[in-house]
Amino acid sequence: MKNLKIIILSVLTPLLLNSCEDFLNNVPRNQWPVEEAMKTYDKAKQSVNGIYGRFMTGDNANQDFYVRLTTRSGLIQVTGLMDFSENQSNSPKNLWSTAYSAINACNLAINGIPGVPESAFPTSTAKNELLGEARMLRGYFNSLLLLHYSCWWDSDESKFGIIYRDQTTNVENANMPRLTVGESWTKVMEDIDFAIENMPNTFSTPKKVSKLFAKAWKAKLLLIRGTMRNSSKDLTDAKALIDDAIATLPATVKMETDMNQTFLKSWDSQENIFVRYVEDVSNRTSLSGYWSTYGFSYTAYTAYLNSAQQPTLQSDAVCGIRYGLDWIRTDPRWFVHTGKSRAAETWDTSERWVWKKIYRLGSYAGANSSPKDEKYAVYHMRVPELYIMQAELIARTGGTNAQAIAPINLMRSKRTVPSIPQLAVPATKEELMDEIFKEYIRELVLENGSEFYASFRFEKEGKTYMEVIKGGSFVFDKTKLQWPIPDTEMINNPLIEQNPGQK
Amino acid sequence: MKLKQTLNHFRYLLVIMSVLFCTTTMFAQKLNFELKNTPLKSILKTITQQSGYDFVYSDLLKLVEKPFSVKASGEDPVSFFGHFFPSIGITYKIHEKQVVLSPRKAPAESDTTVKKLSTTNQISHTQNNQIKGKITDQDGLPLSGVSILNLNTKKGVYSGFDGSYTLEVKPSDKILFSFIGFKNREYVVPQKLSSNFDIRMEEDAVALESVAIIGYGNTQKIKDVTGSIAHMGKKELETAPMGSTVQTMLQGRAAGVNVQIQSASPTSPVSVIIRGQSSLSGDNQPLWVIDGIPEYNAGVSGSVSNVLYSLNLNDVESIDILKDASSTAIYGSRAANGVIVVTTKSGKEGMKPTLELSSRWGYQVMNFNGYDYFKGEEYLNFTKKATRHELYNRGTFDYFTRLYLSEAEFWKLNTSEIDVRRIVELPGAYYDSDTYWMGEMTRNPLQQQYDLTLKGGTKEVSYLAGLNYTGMQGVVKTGFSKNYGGKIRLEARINKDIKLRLNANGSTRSASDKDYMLDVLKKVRPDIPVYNADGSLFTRDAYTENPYTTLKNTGYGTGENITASAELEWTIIKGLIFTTRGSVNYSNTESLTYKRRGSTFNYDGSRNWSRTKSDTKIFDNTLVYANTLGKHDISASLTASIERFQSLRYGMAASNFPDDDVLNSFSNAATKGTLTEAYEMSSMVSQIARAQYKYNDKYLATFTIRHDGSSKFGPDRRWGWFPSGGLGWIISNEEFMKSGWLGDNLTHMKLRASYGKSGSQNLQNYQWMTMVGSVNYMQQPGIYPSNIGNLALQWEETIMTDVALEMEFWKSRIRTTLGYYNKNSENLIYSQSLAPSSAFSSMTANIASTTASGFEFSVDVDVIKNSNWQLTLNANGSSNNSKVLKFNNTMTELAGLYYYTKIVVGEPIGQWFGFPTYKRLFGTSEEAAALKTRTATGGITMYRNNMERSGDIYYKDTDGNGTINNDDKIFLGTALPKLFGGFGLQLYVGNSFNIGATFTYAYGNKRLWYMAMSDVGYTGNYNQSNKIAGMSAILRSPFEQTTLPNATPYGDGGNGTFSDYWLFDASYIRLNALNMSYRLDKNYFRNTLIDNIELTLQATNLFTLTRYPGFDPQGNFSTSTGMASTTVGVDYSYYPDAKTFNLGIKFTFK
Repeated sequence: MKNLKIIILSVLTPLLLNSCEDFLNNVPRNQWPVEEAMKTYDKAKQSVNGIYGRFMTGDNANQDFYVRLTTRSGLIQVTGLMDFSENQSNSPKNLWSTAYSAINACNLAINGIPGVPESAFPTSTAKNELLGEARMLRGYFNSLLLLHYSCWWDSDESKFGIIYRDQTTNVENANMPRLTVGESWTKVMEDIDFAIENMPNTFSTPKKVSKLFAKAWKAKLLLIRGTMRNSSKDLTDAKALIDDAIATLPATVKMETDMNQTFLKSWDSQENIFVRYVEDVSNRTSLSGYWSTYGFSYTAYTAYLNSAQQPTLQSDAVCGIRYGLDWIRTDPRWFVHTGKSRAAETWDTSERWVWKKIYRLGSYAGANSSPKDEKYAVYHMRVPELYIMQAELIARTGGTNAQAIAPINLMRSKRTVPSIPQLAVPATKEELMDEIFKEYIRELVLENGSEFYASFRFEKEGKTYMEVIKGGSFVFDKTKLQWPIPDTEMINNPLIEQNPGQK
Repeated sequence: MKLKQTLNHFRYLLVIMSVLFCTTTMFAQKLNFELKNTPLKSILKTITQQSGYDFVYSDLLKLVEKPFSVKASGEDPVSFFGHFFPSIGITYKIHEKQVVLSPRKAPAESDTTVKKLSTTNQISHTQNNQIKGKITDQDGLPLSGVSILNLNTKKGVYSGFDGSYTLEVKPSDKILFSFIGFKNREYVVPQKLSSNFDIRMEEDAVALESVAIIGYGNTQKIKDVTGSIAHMGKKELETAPMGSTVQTMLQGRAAGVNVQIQSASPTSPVSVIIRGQSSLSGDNQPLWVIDGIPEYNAGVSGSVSNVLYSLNLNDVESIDILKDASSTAIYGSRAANGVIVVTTKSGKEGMKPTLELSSRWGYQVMNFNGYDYFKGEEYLNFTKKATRHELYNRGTFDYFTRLYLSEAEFWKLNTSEIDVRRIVELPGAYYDSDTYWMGEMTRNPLQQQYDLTLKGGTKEVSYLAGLNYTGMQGVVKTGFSKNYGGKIRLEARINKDIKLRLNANGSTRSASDKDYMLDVLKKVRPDIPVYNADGSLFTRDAYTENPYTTLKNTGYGTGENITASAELEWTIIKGLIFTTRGSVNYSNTESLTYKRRGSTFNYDGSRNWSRTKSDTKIFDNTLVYANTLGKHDISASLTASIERFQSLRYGMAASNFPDDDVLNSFSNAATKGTLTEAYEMSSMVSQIARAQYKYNDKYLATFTIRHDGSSKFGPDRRWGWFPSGGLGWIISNEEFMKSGWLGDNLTHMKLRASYGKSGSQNLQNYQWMTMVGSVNYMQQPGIYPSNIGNLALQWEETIMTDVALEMEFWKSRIRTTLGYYNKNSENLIYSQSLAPSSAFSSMTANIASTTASGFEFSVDVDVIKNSNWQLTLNANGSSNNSKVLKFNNTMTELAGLYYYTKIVVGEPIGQWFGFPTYKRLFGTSEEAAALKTRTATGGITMYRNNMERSGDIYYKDTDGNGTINNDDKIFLGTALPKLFGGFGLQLYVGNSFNIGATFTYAYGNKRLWYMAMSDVGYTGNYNQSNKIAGMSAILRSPFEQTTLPNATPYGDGGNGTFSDYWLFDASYIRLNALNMSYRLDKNYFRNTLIDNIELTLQATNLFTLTRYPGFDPQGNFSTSTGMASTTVGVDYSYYPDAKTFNLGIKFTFK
C-alpha cells in the first residue's frame, strides 16, 4: 500500500509544481521571435529586402501619394481637396501609415545587422553597404513624413517635426512624441549621408535605392528646403550633388531614345533611377493599387466618344488638367503621357483618353490581354529629372540663362521619338524659370509629385505658381503645405500634438 | 389518507442517500454466516466482506442499530436480500455493487402486516384468485423488492430477486406497484385473470434525484448542488427532433441559455450563449466537455470542422449546463462563457445484451415567411417603374437606366419637360425567357437517420457499441450533409479496486454547402435565358451567376474526428479514489471549392483547397476522497491536468483551367495561386482542488480553486487563479419546516448562493510575442517585424455572483427555481487600435470591463400525475443586461464602419445606433423639397441631398440644424431580447404513449432586416422580391402603413442607409418541436427476438407568432462574426427557415 502511495505522489507531483514553464513556452514554428531573427548574412540581406516588400506593394507610398500631390498643386484634379483645407479627420493617412510600417522594417535591419558577426559577410564592405541601403530607406521615408506632415519649412526650434523611431515597435515604445524640426532634418540627413558614404558605387537595379538615388534625393530635399528657407548653402550643396550624380552616372543608366519605350518597358527601362516594382504573382494587378490600375479611368480622363458619339481627338483631350493646356498638349510628349484605354470596370466597355503611362491598359483589359499587361511601375525618379534639377540649381545659384537652359536641351536632345525641339535661351530670368517649371510638368507630369514641389518653388508675376494655377480666391499659405496628422494617430497616440492650426 | 401516506414516503426519499463507503475486501460469490442478536450494522458488514456489496443508507434508518438473528448458507446475495430485507421492513435497491436501503412505510399500514405477508415471500392459497408476474425496469433488468400492494385489501408483497411476484387479488382490485426511484404504477385487475401480469417500472425522471455531472468525473445530486446547473436527461433528449444537434436541442430548454440557429441549412451555424455575452471579442461560446474531454473543435460554425455536428444525439445520456462560477470554476480558465458537459451512454453491469435499431425519416418544408422573388411580369413591371423613377429623379441617364431605357429615343424627344410615360424601353433590354429559378433550384429536402446500438454487461465488463448514419439534404438542390459515426465504450473491473474504462468514437462527415445559392437566386432576373444557342449555360455578366452554374460548382467539405480515451480508476483505500486518464482527439477537415466559368467574376475556373489537421492531447490525474462522519459529509478532490493543442492548416489555390469538367485538377491550372501553411500550438497546465461539504443534509458548501497556466500569455502573465465558493441551505430539511402546512405542502426548498472567478483566454496564439515574418520583393525573400507583441496581455476575468431559490410543492408536483446573477468581467481582450506611427493598426490587449446581470426562472408543474396519466407543463425565462463599465487605454467607444451598434461606457451593450426617422415616407416630393434651408449667405442646405422624393424615408433632424448628418444619429433600441426562454408540455399516457411540445420565445428585441435595407439601397439589374421591392413606394402608395421606401437601381434617396426604419420588433413565440411517441409493448412480440418497438412522429417549427417581416425572427446572423456584440441582431437573411416533419421507428432486440 505504501508503495502505491509513492507511485501516486510521483505521478502527481510533477504536475502539481509550477515547473511547467517549458511546456508552456510554445513558439510559433514559422515565425522568428524578433530578438532571434537576425543571426546570419542571409537574414541581414532579407531584412533589407523586406523593407521594399512593405511599401512597394500597393499605392500608399506610390501612385496614391503622387496623385494627391498633383491635385494639391492644382494642375490636375485627380482626388478631392485641392484648396489646402484638409483637417485632421480627412487628412490622407496612407503615406503616414505605410512610411511608418516601412520604417519599422528599416529598424529591424538597422538594429539587427550590426549584431551579425563580421565574419558572416562576404566582403569587408558588405555590412555597411547593407546598412547604408537600410538607412537610405529610413531617411527617404522620414523625409517624406517630414515634407508632408510636419512644419518642415519652420525654424529648427519648432516642435512640429516628425515622430522619429530607431527601434522596432513594441508595447513600450508604441507611442512616441515629435522631434523638433531641426532634429528631424538632422536625423534624415544623417541617414542619407551614411548611405552616400557607404553604399556601393555600382548601380545594380533601379528597383532598389542606390548611391545615385541617395545623391539625387538629397539634392532634391536641399533644393526644396533651400528655396523655402532662402538658404544658399542648401542650394550650392544640392548643385554639387547633382553635378556629381550626372558626372558619375553609370553607363547602364541613361535615357531611352524612344520615350514610348520608357513606359512600355516600365520598371525595366534603363532610364529609371528608382522605380516601384510589383511582384510577379497571380494577383499582380490588384497588388498594384487603385490609382495605377483603375482610378484614372474614372477621374482624370476624357471620354473617347463625346455625347454625340463622335471621337475626341487626343490633342483635344483634357484628362483633368486645369491649367496650362496650351503648353502641355502642344508638347510632343503629351502623346506619350496619354493614350486611349478601356475603362477599368468589368461592365464598362467604353474607351477613354487617360494618363496611359501610368494607367496602361487598365485592370480589366490588362489582365485579360495576352500576354497580360501588368507592369504598373511608379516612377519615383527618372534620369531626365536630374537634368531639370541641374538646370534649376544653376539658375538659382547665379548661373546664366544659357548655362541654365543647357541641361534641359541636352536632356531633350537625347530623345529621338518623339523629337523634342531645343529651347531658345530665354531672354529674362523670369522666362527661364518659367521654362524650367514647365519642363518639370511636360516631362514628369503625374509621376512623382514634382509639379507640387515646383508649384510653390516657382513664381510667376510675384505669386507662387500654385496661386497662378488655382486662380480665383486661393491664397498660398506655407503653413498649410503639410497635411494635418491623421485622425487615427491623434486619437490613439496621447503623446502627439497636431500641427498648429490644423485640428 | 392515501396522499399523506405517499407524502411521507416522499419525505423519506428526500433524506436518504448520505453516502457511506464500507470497506470491501473480497468478492465472495455466496453468503455463509449465522448471526444471532447482532445489530443490523454488523450483519451488513459481514455481508459486505463476503459478497463485495456496499450498503448505502441514511441516518434515519434507525433499524441499523437493532439486533436481528439471521442465517445464510451458500446463498446468492441477491436472493438473500430478496427475502431478508423485506422481512425486517426495509426496501432496497441494487445499483451495481451498491445496495441502497431505506425504511419502508408502504405498502401496508402497519409493519406487522407486511412482515406477516412477506416473511414467507409466498402467498397462501386461500383463494384461487392470484396474479403472477415479473417486474423489470425499462432496460428489462429484473427489479427485486418492489412493493406490490392490493389497495382494496391493503395486503401486499415484495418482488423476489428475479423480479417475480405472486399476489392475491379479486377482479377489479386496484394494485399499486411502487419502488424507490421509480414511478408508481397502478393497475386494475381485469375480470378475467391472466396468469402473467408482467410489469415494467419506469425510472422517475423527477429532477430531484437527478445527478449532475460537475466536472472531472464527479457527479453530484442536483439537490446538493450549490451552483446553477441545468440538467437535461433522457426525457429531454428523447424529444429532440430529427436534425437536431447537441446545440440546437438546447433551444428554449434551459433558462439563461440563448440558442440561435442561423437557418435550416444542413450546414447552418448555431450559437449558444449562456447568460449573455461576457466577452467583447470572440463568439462567446461555452466550453463543451464531452465525456470529460474539453472539445476545442466546437463553435458557431456549421462547417465540417465543428464536431458538435458529428455528435450523435441518440448516444447522449445527459447534458449539464454549468452556468455560475461555483459550477464552472472547475474548468476555471475557459469557463467565463459557461460550460456544457455532455455525457454519452454506456453499457451497464449485469445488463442483458440489448440491440437497438432506430431509424428516422424526415421531410422539410421551406418557410420563407411569404417571401418570393419576382416572376416574369412582376419583374418587368417593377423595373420599368424603378428605372423611370431614377431617370426622372436624376434628370440624366446613368449606367443602369441606359441598360433598360433608350437614351437615343430620349434625346429625340428634345424637350426639357420629362414625361416618364414617353420614355421608351431600350430594344433588347429584356430577354424572352420567364424562368422561376427558385422552383428549379430548391426542393423540400429529405433526411434520414439510422442508429444501431449494442449494449450490455456482465459483472466484470460492461460495453456499448454503436454505429450511426445521418443524411440530410439541403433546401438547395445538391446541398447535403452526411455523417457516419461509430463508438465503443468499455468498462472492465480488473479487480475489486481497479476499473479500466476505454472510450473511442469516430465520425466522418461530408457536406456540400450550397447556401450561397440563395444569394445567386436573389440576383438572377426571371427573363434571363438558361442556355445559349449552343447549349452552354448563359451568363449575363460577371455579377450574375447562372444558377445552373451554381448547382455545378463544387463546395465540398469532409471531416474526420476521432476521440479516444483510457481511464484507470483505483480505489486505494476506503473513500479514496485515484483516477488517471489520457485522451487524444484528432480532427482532420478538408474543404474544396471549384468555381466554374460563369461563376461570379470567374472567367476561367478557380480551385481552392485547404486541409486542417488538429489534435488535442490531455492527461488528467484526479484524487478523490469522500467520507461521511456522522452528520458530516465530506468530499474533496485534487486534479492535475496538462493539455496540448496543435493544428496544421495548409491550402492552395489555382485558376485558369483548360476546362471545368475534366482538366481541372491543380496540375492542370495555368495560373498557380497562393499557397498557405500555418502551424499553431498551445498548451495548458492546470491544478484544481475542490471540496464539498454537507452537514446534516441541510447545509451545503462547495469550494473550488483552479490554477491555470496558458501558453497564450507572456511568461509573466501566464498563470491565473480562479477560486470560487458556493453555499446552500436546504431549508425544507430543518425541523421547523417539517410540521404544519409547510411540512405537508412544501416538499423541498433550497437557498443557494455562489461567488467566484472564472477566466477566458479568448485570443489567438502567440499574441504576446513580437515576431518576424516574411515578405517578398523582386521574387527574393525578405523579412520584417510582422506584429506587435503585447507582453502585458493577461487573462480575462469574470467575477460572478449567483443567488437562487429552489422550491417544490405538493410531492414535488410543482418545481420552481428563481435565480439572479451578476457578472463583472475585467480585462476583456479585444483588438486595441494603435497609432499608425507604431507601424501597426492594432494589437490584442485587455481593453475593457463589462458588467452583466439578469434573472432566470424555471417552473415545472405536474398537472396530472397518476399511474396512467402524467401531464407536465414547464416554462423558463431569463433576462440579461450588459454594459461596458470602462475602457482601458485610449479607447472611448466601440463602433465601426460596418457596425450598426455602438458601445460606449455606461450604456447597455447591443444597442442600435443610427438615424432616427419619422417611420413614414414623404407623401409628396414637395414635402421633401420644403425641408431645404438657406444658409446665411443664401446657399441651399440640403436636408440630405437633392435626391429625396415622394416615397423616400423621412429622417429626423434630431439636432435641428436643418440637415441630416452623423450628429443626428442616436441610440435606437436594443438588439437583445428583454426576456427569452421556452415553455412546453409533456403528456404521458400509460406506459406507451407520450406527446410533447417545446416552444421558444423572445421578447423586446429589434432586429435589423438587412436584406430589405440593402435591397432598396441598390436594386441594380438584379431580380427583386415581393416582400421588399414589391412593397416599395415604386409600386405602392407612400401613405400605406406597410409600404417600404423607393427601391431604385442606385438607391437614390438614401433609403438604404441604416436607420430605425429597418429595425423591426422581433419578439416571437415559436412551436419549436412537437413530439409524439408510442411504444408497442413486448407483449405483442412474445416469442420473438423483438423486445419492443417505439414509433415517433416529430415536427419542428410548426408555427411562429411574430410581427417580424423577414424570413425568421431569430437566426441568420453573420457567419463570419457569429454573435459578436457588434453585429448581434443583424438579420442577413442567408437562408430560409424550414418546417421539418419526421417519422421514427426504434426496434429493441433482446
